[in-house]
Amino acid sequence: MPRGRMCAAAVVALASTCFAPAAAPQEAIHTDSAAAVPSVGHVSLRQTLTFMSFDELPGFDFPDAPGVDEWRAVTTVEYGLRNDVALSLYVPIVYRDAESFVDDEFGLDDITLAAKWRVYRNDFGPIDTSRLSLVAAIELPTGTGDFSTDSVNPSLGAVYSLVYGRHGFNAEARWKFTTGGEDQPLLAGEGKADALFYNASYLYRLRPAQFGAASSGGAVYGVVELNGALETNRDHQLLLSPGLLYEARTYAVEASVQIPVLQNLDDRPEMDFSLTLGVRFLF
Amino acid sequence: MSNTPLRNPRAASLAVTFSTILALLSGCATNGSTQTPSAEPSASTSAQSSPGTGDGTVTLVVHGMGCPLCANNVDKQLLKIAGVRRVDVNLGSGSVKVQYAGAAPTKAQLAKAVADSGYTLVKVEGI
Repeated sequence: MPRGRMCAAAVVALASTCFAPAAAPQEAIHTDSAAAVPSVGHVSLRQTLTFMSFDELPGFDFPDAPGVDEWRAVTTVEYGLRNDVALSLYVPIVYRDAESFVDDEFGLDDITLAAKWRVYRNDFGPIDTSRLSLVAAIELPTGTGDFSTDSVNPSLGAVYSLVYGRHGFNAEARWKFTTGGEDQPLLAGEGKADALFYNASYLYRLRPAQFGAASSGGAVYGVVELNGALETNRDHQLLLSPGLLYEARTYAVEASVQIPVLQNLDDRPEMDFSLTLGVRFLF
Repeated sequence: MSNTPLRNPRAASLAVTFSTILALLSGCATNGSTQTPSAEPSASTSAQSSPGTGDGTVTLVVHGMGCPLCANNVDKQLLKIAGVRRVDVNLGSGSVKVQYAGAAPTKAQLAKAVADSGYTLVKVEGI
């Protein structure tokens, strides 16, 4: 990798690791969690760094087309407005590393503002809870260069979370209404088609087997997720995402890999795989 | 287009690099999880009031704290109450011990703190 590309990648990685992250109860890595509303007046910060590899550059649909890798550092700040309402800000920084004569790109992707309203909560045991939240978000044309869709794109969705003993389950569905979009998108929802994002995750607490006073400090979870995107142009992608999550009292560390299990894509390149590292902090 | 993950050598090389980072991170996580409770950063340690110096203890039973971060939410809200010096959470039982100095916090204050943290107060003992 040429020096310039390495420097840009290092900047993204550094940005990712310096601005430490957010906090959320048994929250999966790629799936939102209804239980993850910070308490009143508190802030959670989450930083993820994702590496994605694609089989071809957008718009280069021919045999032996050059591939492209993308590093995406997303900073998420969430603030607890009420005990059932949280506001969020998502700021993605992207470095796109093309294999060919096409110039690499580095810049800010569109920022998203979101609000989560927990409409249902049933705490039926010391750690057992069932929660449902509604989520509304708006993507603003704040990105630089080709990263921006140059359009305002709202989305609406709902997320359900269940924690029962050592088991955790999250399910999320979100519809993105696109008012513009890129002609040659790389990711779902970045093109001109509307998109349904559907995610489900299962978490199993590997240790401790039983929480107690001495073990309330931290927990390790195994995570498996299904992350789907179905667009109105009939593109459909489903990713399987196994991972690990460690939660302490004030921070969490997460790692996940995404492997495609279904890719029927005509309007954007297929993904080879992706890797994500993340950290969350609760302030 | 190909459906085969990791089909090119460059991607495989990057995956190896990334897996090294993951291994390092995994080491951090392991270290963190094996810390003793007293070494774990928490609201109770940040309060730093020696046990026994408080004028009393109230025990709450709280439901819905599904993870260690949830317990921290409760810590933070209870420590906002005037006089509260230390909070100890037992996730397994939902027991939350609140040590205070001076006047005991009222049930209303405790209930509001737990409500603001987003969980359910089941019982208050010691007031």
